[in-house]
Amino acid sequence: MTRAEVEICNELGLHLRAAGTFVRTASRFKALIRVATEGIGAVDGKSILGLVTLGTAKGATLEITADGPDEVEAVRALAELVASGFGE
Amino acid sequence: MTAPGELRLRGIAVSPGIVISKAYVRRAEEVVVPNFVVDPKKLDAEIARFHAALAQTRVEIEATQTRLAEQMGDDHAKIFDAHLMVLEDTKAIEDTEAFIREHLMCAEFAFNRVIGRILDSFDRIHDPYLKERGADIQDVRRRLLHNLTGQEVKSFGSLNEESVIVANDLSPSDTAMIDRRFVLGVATTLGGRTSHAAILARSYGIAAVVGVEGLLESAHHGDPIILDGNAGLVILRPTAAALAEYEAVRQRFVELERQLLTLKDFPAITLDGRTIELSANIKSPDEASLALAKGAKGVGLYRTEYFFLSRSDLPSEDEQVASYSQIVRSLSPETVIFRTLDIGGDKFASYLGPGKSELNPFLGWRGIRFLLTRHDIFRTQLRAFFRASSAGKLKIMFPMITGLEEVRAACALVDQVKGELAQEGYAFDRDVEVGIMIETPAAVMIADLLASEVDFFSIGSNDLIQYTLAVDRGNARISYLFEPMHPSVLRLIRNTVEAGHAHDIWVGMCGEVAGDPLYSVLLVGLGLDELSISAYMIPEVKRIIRSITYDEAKMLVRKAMGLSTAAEIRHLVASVMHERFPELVAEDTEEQS
Repeated sequence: MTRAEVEICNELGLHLRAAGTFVRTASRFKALIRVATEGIGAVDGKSILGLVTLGTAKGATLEITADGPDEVEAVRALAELVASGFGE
Repeated sequence: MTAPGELRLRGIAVSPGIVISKAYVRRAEEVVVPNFVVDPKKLDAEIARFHAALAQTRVEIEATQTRLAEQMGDDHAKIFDAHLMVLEDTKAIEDTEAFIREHLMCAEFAFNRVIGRILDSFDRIHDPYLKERGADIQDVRRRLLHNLTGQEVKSFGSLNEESVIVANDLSPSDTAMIDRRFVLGVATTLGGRTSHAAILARSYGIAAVVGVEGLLESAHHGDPIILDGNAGLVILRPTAAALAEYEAVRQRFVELERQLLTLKDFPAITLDGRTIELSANIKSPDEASLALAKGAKGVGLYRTEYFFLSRSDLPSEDEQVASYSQIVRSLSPETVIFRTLDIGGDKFASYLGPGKSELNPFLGWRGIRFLLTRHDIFRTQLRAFFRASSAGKLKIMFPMITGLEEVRAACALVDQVKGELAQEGYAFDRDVEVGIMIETPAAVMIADLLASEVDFFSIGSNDLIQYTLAVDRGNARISYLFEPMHPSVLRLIRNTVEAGHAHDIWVGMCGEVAGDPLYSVLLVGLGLDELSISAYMIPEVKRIIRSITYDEAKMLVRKAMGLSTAAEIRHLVASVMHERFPELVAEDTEEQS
């Protein structure tokens, strides 16, 4: 299992479109991906509905864990995506 | 029944304008969710019915997306990508199927339950923007339930005369269905600054007040209504006195708006014939249409760093050519001034290098300093600019210049790139102007030396003020020292203009100061040839420029230069501007110290 913690840095937080971008990236990997934040979760990282219910605002920390053959790459890609502010 | 009387309700003003019209009341249509039991033998058929509705809803959302993209641009339509993902969320689909099988309940009931649980968890969210996103999920739920039950989604079909839409809230689908010819304003019970109703209103340029408690309960379809999007006020069934009062207010507002917009196709020229190039600052190709709609004369500052910051790897030369060509083409025949990658300071990208780890990033590895040590990135960007120059007219400028060596090194690379491209057989404009940003006091002090080696200057007001006054704007304890009216700043601007003009090059200014109507006359008087500002401010600044003479502007500068403190200068400029343009510049309320 691979795990990373990233801070949400985009202004609007993990909103619907950002969650969509996250899901699209997560879905490229085989690994099972779970996401939690400050004690809430963990939700399926490939489910947009799961992610938005976390309600993660700017400054909060997202914990991403992945389990599977490509878990290292998956966590790295997702952590970079979050750190880049979802490319906004 | 007696007609109910006037009712004034307060809300949040999210889009300006004053409308006197009648209410088009749209009540939230609650879908009746059927709860029939499914015959165990027909479970597969029920699940197939669910999937058919999913497919149909997908087609609908895509159609709505296309329609909205045509009306409001791709950016606004992007939200429907997320709607499609909500619709096709594997977890929600699996949960719904499981619920149908387990409880032998119909698809409507099952899906409503699954989504309902998700919406319940939105109650826990504190962040107002994220909380409002629940409306998007509601929107998808409503569409799917409509398709399952065969009920039609109520459209705004009967909206066929000019009205103010009164609703609980507007969903993205609603906003796509509204015929914009008939919407004069929007008032909603729910919502905040970032709700879809607010976004719609701002992009249509119509008045809106949201978060008006008790609105829907008190409004009747067809009620006379006054919507004050400036003050955040809704008046239902206004009295004759209120109508008369607001008619006068509206006239004044409309007249101002009309005057501003009639100037769209006119140049920014003073009464005595001095033309100022009034252009827009933008950072992505989709902002081009807004710039043109507001009457911009080209783009005076295209911030290329946003293209780099919006991704996780370096854009290739071809990707950059495509993006730059698009913007140049959409603004043709006007010119686009591209600023080379201005990274560092307060803009970082992990893959690019400069990081927050620097103790003093504004004095650190940023702007031209970064580019000159990363020739790979610099060269690629320059090549892309020149290749894009075959699509229209562009100019290039370098940020954060402090010395002539930097200018020479950058220009040498420009020449090298031109040579390469010619050899490789690319068509490009050989006469692309190359200029620099003047944003450090050092650059101003040697402006005469710099001017003989570049084609133009563009003063970056924010950085110039920050470096001159040694003040970090982000530091609340000293941000009061950030003062564009400081005599030192005015002298630096004047010196830059004089040095540029002595060498026959033009001098512009980009940045917030350039776009603040308060400073417009002063900047014209200082002799600037170009002002590049936020597209939204163009009509106001143009109006000011067209109402003054260059002589009167120079007079104001002479008076200002005769004063010795920022407070005195600010007081002078504010009182002159307020007296001359009371509708554009607020009164100077600060005490003179």
